[in-house]
Formats: sequence, structure tokens, C-alpha cells
Amino acid sequence: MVEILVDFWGGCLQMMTPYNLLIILLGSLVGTVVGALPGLGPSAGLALMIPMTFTMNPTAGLALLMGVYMGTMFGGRITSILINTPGDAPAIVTCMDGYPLMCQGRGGFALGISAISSFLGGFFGIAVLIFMAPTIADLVISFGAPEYFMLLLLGLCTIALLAGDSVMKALLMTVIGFIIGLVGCDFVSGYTRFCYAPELLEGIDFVVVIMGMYGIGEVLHNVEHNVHLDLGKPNFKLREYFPTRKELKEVSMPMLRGSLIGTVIGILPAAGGTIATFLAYATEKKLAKDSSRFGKGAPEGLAAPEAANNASVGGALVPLVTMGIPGSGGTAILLGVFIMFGMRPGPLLMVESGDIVWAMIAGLFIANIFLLVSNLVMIPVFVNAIRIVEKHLSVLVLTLCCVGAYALNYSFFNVWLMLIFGLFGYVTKKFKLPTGPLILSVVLASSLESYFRQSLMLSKGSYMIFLTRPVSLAILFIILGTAVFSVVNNQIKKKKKAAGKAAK
Amino acid sequence: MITLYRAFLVLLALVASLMMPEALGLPKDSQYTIGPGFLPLIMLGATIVCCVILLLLDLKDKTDATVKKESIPKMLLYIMATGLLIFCMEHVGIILSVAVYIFSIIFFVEKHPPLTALKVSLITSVLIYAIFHIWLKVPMTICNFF
Repeated sequence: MVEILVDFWGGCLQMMTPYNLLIILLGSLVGTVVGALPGLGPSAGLALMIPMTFTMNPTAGLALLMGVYMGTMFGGRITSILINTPGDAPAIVTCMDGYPLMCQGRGGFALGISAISSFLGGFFGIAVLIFMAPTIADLVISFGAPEYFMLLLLGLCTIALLAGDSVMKALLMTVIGFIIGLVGCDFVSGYTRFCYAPELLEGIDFVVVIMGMYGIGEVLHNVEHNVHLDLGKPNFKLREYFPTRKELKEVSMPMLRGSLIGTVIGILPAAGGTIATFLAYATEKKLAKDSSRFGKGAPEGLAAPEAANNASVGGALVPLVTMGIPGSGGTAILLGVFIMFGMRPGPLLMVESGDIVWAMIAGLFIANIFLLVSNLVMIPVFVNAIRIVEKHLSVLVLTLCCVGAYALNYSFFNVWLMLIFGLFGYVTKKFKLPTGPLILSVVLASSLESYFRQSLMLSKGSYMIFLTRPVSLAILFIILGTAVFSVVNNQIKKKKKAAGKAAK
Repeated sequence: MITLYRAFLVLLALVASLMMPEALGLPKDSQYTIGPGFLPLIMLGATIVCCVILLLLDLKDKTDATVKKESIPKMLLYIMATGLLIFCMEHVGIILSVAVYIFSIIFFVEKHPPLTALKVSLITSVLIYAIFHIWLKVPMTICNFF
């Protein structure tokens, strides 16, 4: 326990330089604005800001990205409350009681209570991350190549089987991601794979893929649907953002329950903030004495989902930093960032790069504090920034993507490649093909192949190694269980849908 | 009936089929472990199988996806302008190309006043230069001819 706190304090000290604090503040502010813009969520926010980290040291780079990641979680709620337009998927629930509060003239209160809930949820999730991560890391440190392989396969299978509406679509995206991830020179055998241009010898960088899919793809979607926000000028007084002690007491338990739900759901692969917010809302509605208030401006209906959403950030980082398993598009991008900074994601991450991981967690903690303060006193500034950026969003994102892809290794080939992935991203969005599994497999493809090779070498070519080692076998059973659950779940959904149609 | 979705799936399967000969030509195994062609072959095969299954599923339950006709010219304009931007970034200079691109899109495509277009274009270009070139030390050419 003391050791954990000492490590965390070490991370805090690394972050306590004026440069790193400024970077976190900048990331938090940018993240809040990006999170509030329609179509741009955490994945897009991270994708757009990664180019700025290319020349930074890992600590500063991760500080910036943690600020952005947490900021997008705070930002989504602003437009939900002000104009009933969620900035990202988890903020959909925020509209349900946030906007009615705004209509009742209590918009300042709604923004204040949601900011405090977000902060407490984030704090809870980070606390769980701080205390759980080292314990899990100690448990998995003795894993060998077969266990690593099965763990990565588990991450990939859960997101492929549970993400989106169609398992087959998710599987298609997973295998496409794999093919993209395998492009380039195979450094073990020396053979080249699908190198149709000399620039592809080193493979396709995941940054190019995510900037294209989340940046260009989203812009084209916004251009097609002519998405525009009609934000008025907020007329709130500063004291309106601060709830009274009585109001805070009323929402304290919903915040706590939301935080717990968000953290647990965040830890589960492929679940994430959206499911957490819906579950937290449903729980509060069920527990409420008068559930008819929900949807008409119940503060609990706002506080619990907001806490759940931000708590899911800390939860989602637990499997990422301890086992190298990302559970969502956002954490898959962070996994890619770890690799970009020369870290080796997986059970050894906390041992080999413990100082950077603790600094990252400290960065998340500091960003959470900055975001609470800024979201309580700077709402008018955010609204004005959103209004200005939103007017020219498409052209600004396209420019940033082009410049960012060039900054990767000063090659214009990457910029062209990004444009192609942008078109692909637009098409996948059009056909509701989930992007999370693709990003995850692009990032994991080479590690997965490498651990598979090492496992077979250990067993002199026998596939039985995956069945004879107890941990590996247990993970295999979990994968099979997930597959069975996915099939049964889909069948139930189909039956419900059919029953609904028949009832109509 | 041909739909955009079905055409996309056929195209994907076709691309995977065209890549298949290369995967088949790579060694599938090396001593005691897999070779460089093992996973590519499986993944390409899986892509084709997934596309076929999705096509069959689509025959039963059609995916409804269309592009808004009135948005097509604007989208094409954006794509072509971005393509031109990338070309000009390489041959004319990054910052100058970015400035002209932003001004043109805001003024000609989005139909905002020229002063707004000029302001946004100048501010963004200066910010990009300051952040990437001065702060992050990424080489950013202003104009290749001067």
C-alpha cells in the first residue's frame, strides 16, 4: 500500500514541472472543446493530438494525451445540457435530464453538478486504477509467451464479439485490421508482405490509420449531414454553477453508485462509457422513490451517468497498463502510443516503464482537477471556443490531419495514405462497421504474431502448449465463454426484436 | 440488386483475392514455428469468407445506406481540395498551401465573408507554424520557391 502511494507520488513529482502542468492544462482545455463537438469523441481527440507528441518525451506526451482523454469525457456533456445535442455517445444519457434542467432555467446548476459528478467519477476510477494496477501486474508478471498470446487474443475476441450490432461485421473489421498491421517487412524472416510501395517497408503506422478514420472520416460524415450547432450565448452567473450543500447531499449516493458502475464496466473489455452511463441511469431510475421525475430534470439522472462516464476512464486503463489489453478504440490508441514511445505493453509494462506509467496516472489525476476547476469557471469561454471552432470544424480538422500525418516522419506518402484511410473510415461509418476492432487489431497484429511464434518455438511446433498451461487454458475457456455469450445474446436480441415487431 | 453496401463487400473480397497470390507465395512455416505467410493467408481467407457471409446475410436483411445526393458535390469538393492540398504541401510549401486551402474552403465552399476566411486562414497557419515548427521542431516549409 505504502509502496503504491510512493510510486504514485513519484509520478506526481514528474508531472509537477511547469512545462508538464501547462501541457496537461492545454490538453484538458482542447479535449473539452473536442469532446463537445459533434462526432468527435475521445478517439478523434487523441488521434488529432498525437502528432504533437512525436517530438516530446514520453512523460510530456502522455501528459498531453491524458489531458485530452479526460477532457473529452468532460466536454461531451456541455452541448448535451445546453442544446440537447450530445458531443459523444456516452453524453446521450446526459441529454435526458440535463436539457430539461436547462429548459427550467437551471442550466448553470446542471453544468455545475455534472462537472462535480464527472470529477468524482474520474477520481474514483483513478483511485481504483492506482490500487488495482500494481496488484494485477504482480499477478500476471510470471506469464510466458503462450499466456501473453492468449491475453491479446482475449482482448481482440471480446471487442470483436461484443462491439457493435453484428459479430460478422466486427470480425470483418478485425481481419482487415490484421492485414493492415501485417503490411511491411517481417523482421524475423526478412520477407516483405504486401509492400506495394517502398515506403510500406516499415509498415503502416497506426497514427495514419486513426487520423484518417477518426479525423477525415468524421469530417466527411459531418459534411454530408451538414452538422451545425446553434449555440446561444450562455447567461449564467458564476454562483449558479455551484450546487448547495443540500443539493450535493441528494446526489452524493447516485454519484458513488455511478462511479462504481463506471469503474467496473470500464474494466470489462468492449463495454466502455456508453454502456456505463445507460446502466447508471437505469439503476438510479430503478432505485428512485419517484421514478416519474426522470427525463424531466432529475439531478440524480444527470449525476450518476456523468460519474459513470468518467469513472470508466480509470477502469479502462486497468487492463491496459497491467496486461496490455485495450477495451475500446480510445485505449487501443493509447496502446499504440505506448509502442510509439518505445514501451512494451503487457504484463512487464509496470516493471520496465513503471515511472512513465505512474507519471501517466498522475497526469490523469492532475487533469481531473484542472478539468473540475475549468468546467466550473470557464463555461462561457468553452462555449465561445466551441462556437468559433464548430463553424470551421471540417477545414480545421482536415488541415490538422494533413499536417499531423506529415509530422509523423516528414513523409507525404503518409498523408496520401491517411486520405485513403479517411475515405475508408467514412465508408465504414456509412455501413455501420465498427472501427474499434480494426484499430485494435492494427495495433496488436505484430505483437500477436510475435507471441504466437515464440509460443510455438517453446513447444517445438506443438499447438498443445496453449492447452497444457493452466493460465493459457483458463483464458481459452474465457474466450470460448465470451463467444457463447455473444451468440446467445444476439439470439435473445433477435427474438426481442421479432417479438417487438409482432406486437406492433 | 446492387447496393452501395454490397458493392463495397464485393470490392473488399476482390482486393483480398488479388492479395492472395502474394500470401500463398510466402512460406507458411519455418523450423518449429509459423512462417511469414501463415497469418496473412488466414486473414485474407477470413476476409473473403466474412464478405461472402455478410453478402448472404444482406440478401435476407438489406442494409439501407445511401449518400445524400445534395451533399455529394460538396463532399467531392472537400476530397479533391484535400488531395490538392497534399500535392501543394509537397511541391509548393506547407504553410502557404495550408493558408490558401483554408481560405478557399471557408470563402468558396462554406460561403463565409472573405475577411473571416482571411482571419481564420492566417491565424491557423501561424498557429501551425508556431506549434509544429518552432515548438515541436518539425520542419515546415513556408514556400518552396523563396
